[in-house]
Amino acid sequence: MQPLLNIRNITKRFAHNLPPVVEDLRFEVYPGEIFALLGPSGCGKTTTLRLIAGFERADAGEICVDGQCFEGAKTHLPPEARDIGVVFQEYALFPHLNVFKNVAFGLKKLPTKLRDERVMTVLDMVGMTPFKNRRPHQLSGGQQQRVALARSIAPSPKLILLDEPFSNLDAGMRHSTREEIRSLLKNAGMSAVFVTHDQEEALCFADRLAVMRDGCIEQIGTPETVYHRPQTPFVADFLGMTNLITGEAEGNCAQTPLGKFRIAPFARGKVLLSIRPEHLIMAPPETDAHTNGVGEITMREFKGHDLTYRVKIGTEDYVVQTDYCCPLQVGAPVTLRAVEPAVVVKHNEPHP
Amino acid sequence: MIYSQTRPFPPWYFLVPGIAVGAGVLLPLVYLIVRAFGAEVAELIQIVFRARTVHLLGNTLLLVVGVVGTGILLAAPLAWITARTDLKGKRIFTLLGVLPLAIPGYVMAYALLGLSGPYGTFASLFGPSFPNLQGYWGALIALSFYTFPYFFLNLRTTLLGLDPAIEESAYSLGSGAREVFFRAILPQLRPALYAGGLLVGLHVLGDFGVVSLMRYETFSFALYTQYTAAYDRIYAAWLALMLLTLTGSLLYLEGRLLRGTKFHRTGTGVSHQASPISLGIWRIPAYVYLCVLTLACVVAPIVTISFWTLKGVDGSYMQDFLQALSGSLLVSTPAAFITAAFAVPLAYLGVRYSSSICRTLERGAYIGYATPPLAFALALIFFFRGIPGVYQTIWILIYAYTIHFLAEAIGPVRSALYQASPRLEEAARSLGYRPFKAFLKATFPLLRSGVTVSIAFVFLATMKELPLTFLLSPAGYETLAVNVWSYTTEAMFAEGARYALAIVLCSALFVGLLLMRGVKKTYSYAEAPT
Repeated sequence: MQPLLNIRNITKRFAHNLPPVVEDLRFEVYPGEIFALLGPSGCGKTTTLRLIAGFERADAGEICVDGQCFEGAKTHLPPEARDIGVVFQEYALFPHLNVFKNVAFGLKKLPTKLRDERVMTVLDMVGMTPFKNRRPHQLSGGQQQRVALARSIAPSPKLILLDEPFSNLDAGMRHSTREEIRSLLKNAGMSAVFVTHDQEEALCFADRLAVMRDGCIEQIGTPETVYHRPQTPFVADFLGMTNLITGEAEGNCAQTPLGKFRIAPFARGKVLLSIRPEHLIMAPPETDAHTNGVGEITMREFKGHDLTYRVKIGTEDYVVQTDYCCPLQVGAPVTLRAVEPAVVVKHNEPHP
Repeated sequence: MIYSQTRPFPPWYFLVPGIAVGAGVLLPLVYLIVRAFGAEVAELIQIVFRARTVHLLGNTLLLVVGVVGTGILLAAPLAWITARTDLKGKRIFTLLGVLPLAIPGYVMAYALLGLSGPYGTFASLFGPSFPNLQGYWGALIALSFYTFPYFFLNLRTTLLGLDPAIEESAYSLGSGAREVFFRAILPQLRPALYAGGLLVGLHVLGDFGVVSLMRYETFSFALYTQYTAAYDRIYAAWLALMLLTLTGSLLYLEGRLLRGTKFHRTGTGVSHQASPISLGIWRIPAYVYLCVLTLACVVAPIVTISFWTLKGVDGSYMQDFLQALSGSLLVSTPAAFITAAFAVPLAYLGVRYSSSICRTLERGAYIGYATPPLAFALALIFFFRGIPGVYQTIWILIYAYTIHFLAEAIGPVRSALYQASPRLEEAARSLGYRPFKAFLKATFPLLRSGVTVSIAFVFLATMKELPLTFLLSPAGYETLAVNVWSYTTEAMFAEGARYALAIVLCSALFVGLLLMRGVKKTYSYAEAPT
């Protein structure tokens, strides 16, 4: 399939004496896809979004939409000519216009009758028809966000960009709004790129995601791939909790301070392994005392539906996630065993 | 998040007005300097280094120091009483601290002259007369009464914002009341005193009406006599230059003094309002002080003006009055709109573009504000003298008003602009609007109230402006302000009264607007319920 958005080697710096905010970025977004840029604050994800929208100029690289070059060495299409909708983090609704007029703002070229119909259709989609005469300051945060989305959808853009779309909503609202907006975008067949620092949000909202760090992309993939097969320690650590363990690999196994682990993919030599807390199992040492190093539980956190333990083995701490009924208490001696292969995230020696 | 330096260069429709203002301020001043240095060296030395220069410098400095000192003495107790005590009627007396701004210096001078002397209001109403107020003391009183609110406003704001914990800890560390004042309170008031001092100093240096009516020789007064009577151009240019140098020194001094005086609370402890001090028996002297001040600064001038207005009541001057009124309106109205039209791009440059060019351009407006009007007027006369169709028309006056009052017009637009997020324009861009249209559709509607206030500010300020109007209006052109001045110089108080009354009315509206802005609220996202 032909990608809708094609980002090729984009670099952006704000000053000559500073490191680039975005460096040699490269990814594609396909029609109908929801793509997330995930990373900690200051990683360049919002700048990337602003480059796509045309609010910033790239220093190098190309941005193409639908085969047309928007940004390149000699081209810079202004934002108004890009046909890309933007939903800002703070929504940026026009405070002097009511909801209806906000949504109609981008439809200036349509004749009045068609325009009014389109506004009503879009307002209906986001469920804001009853509020069409309200001013933005008379709406709640969630309602403002829906109007902002309606406003950007109304001119039927090729692509929608959302900057931290859920960060201004309180936790309760966030869940339901997320589901609503995802199904809304999917039903409308919209392609979207959104930016977030919340890994849970990225995992459940995006079809694919890119994890960014210091202006570079560390890994791109589906939520499942990125979560289960992180390629770098940063990705492993940023997407949920993980244990990073060094080991000596030989084929599909590695020798670690915790014992022998199955690994994926195959490797040889010194490796860094990521193993999720929920993939570790604790057992009292007498059952298989001879296999692994014996450790001690240093922390137990009961959270209702599950438990988080911290286990000290040697000088290292390990995090273990268990189900609701684990009876082990702080101070108990335990050994650790993995139920899934550990993921190789960094090779200290080149692959043979 | 900050997106700095992303648009280093503003679009031409903001940049061109900015450059125009910068050029509008600097070109005449540069020309003034060129002209001043146009004479022979020997001649220059003779002009500059003469006893009269020292005399003028001494007189000017004496007046600045006197007005600043008197202003602090008048304002400090008032600020303290209204900010920190439990005196009843504090609100009314707070208003009193601002009200004198409604009586411009030359109207105050008119009132003082009309009040004193054997034929003055006081003598007519109460019998005994006291000698004519003139010269240094007359100028000092007129200027102090008019300008002390600048100290009052600054001091009161600071006193209200002081963290009482600092005083409390000073007391707890064993300091006495006197020591607490000098070591804990006074240092914190310094920025307020400097800010007030700068404004008052600029007013005194720029004043023409009071010193000319009181016949007290300062640089401004000498400039005026030189211009009207002798008209030695090079000497006039040098006087203007000296006045500019003095103003520059004042600005420099303030900048130096203010350096390193940023006082604010450190840490996260909860700040609480100081509990008001009970005055006890001291309440009586406090009331006496407040009443005397009210009587002197507000009641006496109003009574004098009303007295002379009633005395001069007959229809014969109505025609003249209407002519002067229309003369004022005819320049003030276009000046107000043009100034506001320049204020929008300049405020935009200053707020939205962080580059040094833009900040420099915005600062150009402040140079225009600080330049003594008489010196600027003279520079304009030199600059435009040879150009027919400009010189001796109201356009040159409008030009001068625009440059001089632009800083005052930028303020309200700027605060409105801070309320409007740059994202609004970006949203409009992404919805298909070109940059200028995006500004017009997304940002400008939010500036409307600010622009309206700017227009009103400049309109009222130009209505009461005297020195620029006096020097730059076409020959025989009458305005309210010029007529107050002219009749007062001739001691025709009855004839001048209605003009003075009209000016006070304009100024009162101006002050009212100033006060209203404190409570005015504009659209903002902060209001949105979340």
